[in-house]
Amino acid sequence: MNNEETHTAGTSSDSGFVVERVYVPEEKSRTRKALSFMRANPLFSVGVALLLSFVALAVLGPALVGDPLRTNPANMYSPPSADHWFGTDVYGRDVFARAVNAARLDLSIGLAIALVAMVIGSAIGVVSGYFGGRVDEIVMRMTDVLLAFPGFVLALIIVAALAESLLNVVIAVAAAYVPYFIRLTRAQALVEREQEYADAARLVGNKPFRVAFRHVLPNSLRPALVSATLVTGWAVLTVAGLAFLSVGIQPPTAEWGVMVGEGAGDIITGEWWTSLFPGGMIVLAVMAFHFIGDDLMEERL
Amino acid sequence: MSLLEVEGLTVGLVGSPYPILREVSFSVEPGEILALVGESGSGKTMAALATMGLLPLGIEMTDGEARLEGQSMVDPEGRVTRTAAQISMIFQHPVGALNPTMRVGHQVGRVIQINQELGRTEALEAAVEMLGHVGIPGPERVARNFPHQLSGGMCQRIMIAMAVACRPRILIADEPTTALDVTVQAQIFDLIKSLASEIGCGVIFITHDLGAVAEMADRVAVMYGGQVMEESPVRELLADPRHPYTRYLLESITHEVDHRVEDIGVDFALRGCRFGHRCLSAHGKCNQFPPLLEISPDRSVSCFLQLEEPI
Repeated sequence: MNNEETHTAGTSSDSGFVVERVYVPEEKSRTRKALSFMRANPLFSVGVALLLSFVALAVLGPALVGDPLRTNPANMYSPPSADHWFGTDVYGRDVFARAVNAARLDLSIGLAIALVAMVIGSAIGVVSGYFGGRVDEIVMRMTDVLLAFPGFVLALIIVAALAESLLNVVIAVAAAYVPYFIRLTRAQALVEREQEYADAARLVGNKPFRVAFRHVLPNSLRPALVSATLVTGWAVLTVAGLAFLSVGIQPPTAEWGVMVGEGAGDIITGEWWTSLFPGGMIVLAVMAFHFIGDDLMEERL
Repeated sequence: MSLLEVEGLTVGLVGSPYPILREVSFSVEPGEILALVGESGSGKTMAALATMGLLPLGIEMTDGEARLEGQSMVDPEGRVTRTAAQISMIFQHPVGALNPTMRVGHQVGRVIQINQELGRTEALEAAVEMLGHVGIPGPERVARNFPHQLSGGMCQRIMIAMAVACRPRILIADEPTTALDVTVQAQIFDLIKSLASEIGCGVIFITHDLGAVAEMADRVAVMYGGQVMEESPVRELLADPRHPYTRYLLESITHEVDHRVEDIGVDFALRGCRFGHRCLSAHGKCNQFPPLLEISPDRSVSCFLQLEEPI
């Protein structure tokens, strides 16, 4: 019965000039737009949310938690509690305070490494791609040699060769990622230098270096910028990995890799919290950068 | 002496014995608009690029010379000495010919800065003035825009502003309106024409549109298969085409074509006239290269049919 009724109702409007559907663009509020964007890009949104929390933690955190270096022999190895959210370690230091302070250090190092590697790598890459010829050949063979080593091993070798300091860790890890950026930027520069605007720039009398850096470089940066997000994540991992092997950043600095390294032995005796929490922070931080970088790379946005 | 003389331009792939352009010659007088006409792949753009020394990678000029006011534009070591104040160019795709990451005002300003040795701010002011001059409404605002924020017609006006900003002696316009709306075409033609007469520069106008040629040009060089078929003042060419190819080209517009040419490819290995195998008047001698024959002081045709005693 019900079906028939709807059927007749449908046909009756066909005979008259009844406008059945009018397209009215839906007025979406900002929040609804944001929500539908998040639904469409769940991993990216998780990545951004994670990254924002880490940034908040790194900026505000250290002021709110206690001194990461203050020892308390009376309170060693206390398990996670309301007082010590992540418990305390062998010297009675608050693991939460250390992990939060480490967030600031690790994120800044990761960003610094990605930035240094991108700036140097892109500059070399654009020169190599734009000018081509001998220069290109030499640069490419050098990157081949460097890329033949896994980034981690290369960073390990360089840190070991340099004196141990924070700056040297940044230099070493950045150097390990430079060839990667050289390749990316060079490939794009090869495309961009054939574009008409590059011709036009040469035509009006710009010097070759100016065409390369003012015209071709900005247009060749896209792949490098996208990869910089991924590299930031990898850099955090590499720095932590080096610290875990007691290369680079040394105890008692509050750094995730140092903390995992110090706490690794505690697991056997049952004090899992000293290494698990900083380890989890590393995982989350690397994941955040990976989610963002992955979506950017596939141009889903 | 003409303003620009291009003589015997021969261009080919590096290492290939078959030339893409074969002995292309034309000349431009001050204030004159020369149209290079021909179908796709006839070598119009290639001839312009070779004149400017802007040949793409893997293509080289093997013979010939381009002289501006009697001066070669290539120094003895083979370096291009041309400056933007001598020759500049308007490209086919205005949006692609502007740097997407630079504000248009700076792009125009940069040209002025390089060629007139002005400071950055003065050059930018001059650029804004120039933008107004090419008919862009609200030039101060537009100067701060990036190319993707502007329409194709606006971008082409900006390209034109860039091209004429340093008052070149020769302006090359490579199909300046093919990427644009028909309604914008006429405006761009008028703009190029009025700016050219204002500066007094010669214009090389590349197109495949004979309507545009009739409207714009003073003289025409008809190209086919990398060879100049006929060079002539535009009125005479339209009234009395001498080369068979020119005739077919004109007929193709009025739909008077009473024959179909099946094979439209150009055989670059051919020694003789490159139009030979499509030409209905072809005869035995056409398997040799036809020289450009002067049939009157300002007309020349590259065809054996123009000889006093045809075979």
